[in-house]
Amino acid sequence: MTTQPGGEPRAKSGTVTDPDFAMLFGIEPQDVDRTAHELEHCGSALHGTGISLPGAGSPDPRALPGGQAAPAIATAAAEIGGTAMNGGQRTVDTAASLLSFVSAVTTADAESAEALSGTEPAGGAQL
Amino acid sequence: MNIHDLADAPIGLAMGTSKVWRTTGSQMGNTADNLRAISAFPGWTGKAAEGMSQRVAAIAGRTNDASDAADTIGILLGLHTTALAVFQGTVVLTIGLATTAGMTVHSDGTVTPKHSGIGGAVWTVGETLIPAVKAGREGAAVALTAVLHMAMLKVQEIDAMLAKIVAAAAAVDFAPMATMGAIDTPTPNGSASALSPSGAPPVVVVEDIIDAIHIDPVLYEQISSKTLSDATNYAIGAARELQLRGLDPTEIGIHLTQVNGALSVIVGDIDTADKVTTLVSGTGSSDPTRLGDSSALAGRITGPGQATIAWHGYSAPKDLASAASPTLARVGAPSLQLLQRSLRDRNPNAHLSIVGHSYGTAVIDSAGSSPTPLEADEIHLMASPGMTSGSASALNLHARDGHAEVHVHRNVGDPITLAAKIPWILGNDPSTPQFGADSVNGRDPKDNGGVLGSWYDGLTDLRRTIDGDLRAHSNYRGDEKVLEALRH
Repeated sequence: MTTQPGGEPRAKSGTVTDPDFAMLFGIEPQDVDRTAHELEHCGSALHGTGISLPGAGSPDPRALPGGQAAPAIATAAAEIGGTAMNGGQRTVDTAASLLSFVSAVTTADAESAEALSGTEPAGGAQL
Repeated sequence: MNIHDLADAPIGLAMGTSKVWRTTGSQMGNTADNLRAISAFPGWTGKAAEGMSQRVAAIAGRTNDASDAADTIGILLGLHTTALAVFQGTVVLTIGLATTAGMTVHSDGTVTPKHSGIGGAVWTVGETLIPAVKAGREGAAVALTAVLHMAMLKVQEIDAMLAKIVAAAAAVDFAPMATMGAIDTPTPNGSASALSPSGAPPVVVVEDIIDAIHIDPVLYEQISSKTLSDATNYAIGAARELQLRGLDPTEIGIHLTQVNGALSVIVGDIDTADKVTTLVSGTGSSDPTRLGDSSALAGRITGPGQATIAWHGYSAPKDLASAASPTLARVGAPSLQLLQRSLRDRNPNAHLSIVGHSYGTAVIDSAGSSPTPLEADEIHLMASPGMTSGSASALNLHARDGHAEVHVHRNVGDPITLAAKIPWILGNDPSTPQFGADSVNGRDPKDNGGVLGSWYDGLTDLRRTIDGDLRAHSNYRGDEKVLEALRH
């Protein structure tokens, strides 16, 4: 799993790019880590939009005489704001799962390298 | 509303709010685009990646819906304020004329030629000297009253109309927060790390996944090793989906077998399950690789004490052109009937659910239109192109409690809905209140915006179809809101 071509144990380099490793997990940790951070950014942006909409998107009732549209828009602001907050939170949670996943995969790789080579990983996994 | 509310309304504030909505719509649209791009997950392959990709794509889809709704509300509010400004200008001018003429403007918009102020005194003198002047003033008051009443009436009408359209457009919602399950992470000594930011149950080591797969020995003789190998991978995909939800696939069990002659993946134990779900896929699902999609869905919706059959036991249309004909659905319907009868016989206490996607709903429709009842306690119609049954109650379904529930799921922007709007293709749109489903997207069909909601959704469907955006048709399988409905 973590032996180099030729059968030599592979010392942990700190970055997981071993083709065998990638084949096993189907993952390039650096790419997924970057993607997870992008996901986190999107989630935060969406969550922020959701927080601000109920206030900023609710019109002053005096500005819309008639009595029905203003409360309807305020309700819509709360609903769509809630949708955005919910989606943002789910996105952030997904990003957190991914980051944990990548971290665990690289840790597993480091530990396996350590176990097979008998050497201490230098500085642990880097992404 | 009184006339002074209209005359004095700070309409400029509403114009500012309109800009907020449009900006919000634009921001959410950008976020949806980014999420969609991210959902490709470069550098990560396999079923776990596919599952995560579908989750993110589903979030992107709903964010896009919210973006469209916000944009629509912003545009409509902008148009509304423009119209309001015209009416306000008319009202202010009319009130000005009446006041100048010494008339009284009442809060309900009625203008009376009551004498007041200096102007009123002048007019009193005039009326005394010339009787015709009095008649003229009374006529003018009536005319001014008509203008103000008309303005108030129109403002109330457009206000009510805007309220209804906004309510229809805002019917966009996410599922309740889903618990992201643990992701299995093997370590060199074979143990596993439980990774779950939300505290999902621990996981099974990756090496044990194969132990969860039970292959019917007959398959070794009846299908090629390549087909068996592929199917085993699909079964493993289902197991990984269970793991992503923090469930132990070895406890639930994944069975690779033939169901009525069709290679199928069954998640869970049919004989002991409280609920057995049959998945009926749509166009293109006779392609052997599509067993992977349905198996993954089975892994996403099956819980402890449940079983789900990824069934591909009918000859599905290969493309959209052949999907326009109900013939293959009619041919496949007896197979579905047979399967459901055998499930009822095998486990009479189980709650039987059938989930159809796209053309799969036509197979359910056909099977439910037979004189022989279709054994089902509930059916779910996802992305249905139409039902020949005139109503949900017209379907010949046999439920244990006498009432088979019919639930409809449709994404805003799903182009298949355009086909559903044309009854002569594959039948009537089951998402309409007239069809009488128990729920549409988890709500009472009457609560989905009514005529205006249908109109708004139709416009969105049309626009996205013209844009070539077909994602909404396949997002159901990763949409946590839909998945939650299928799990219960």
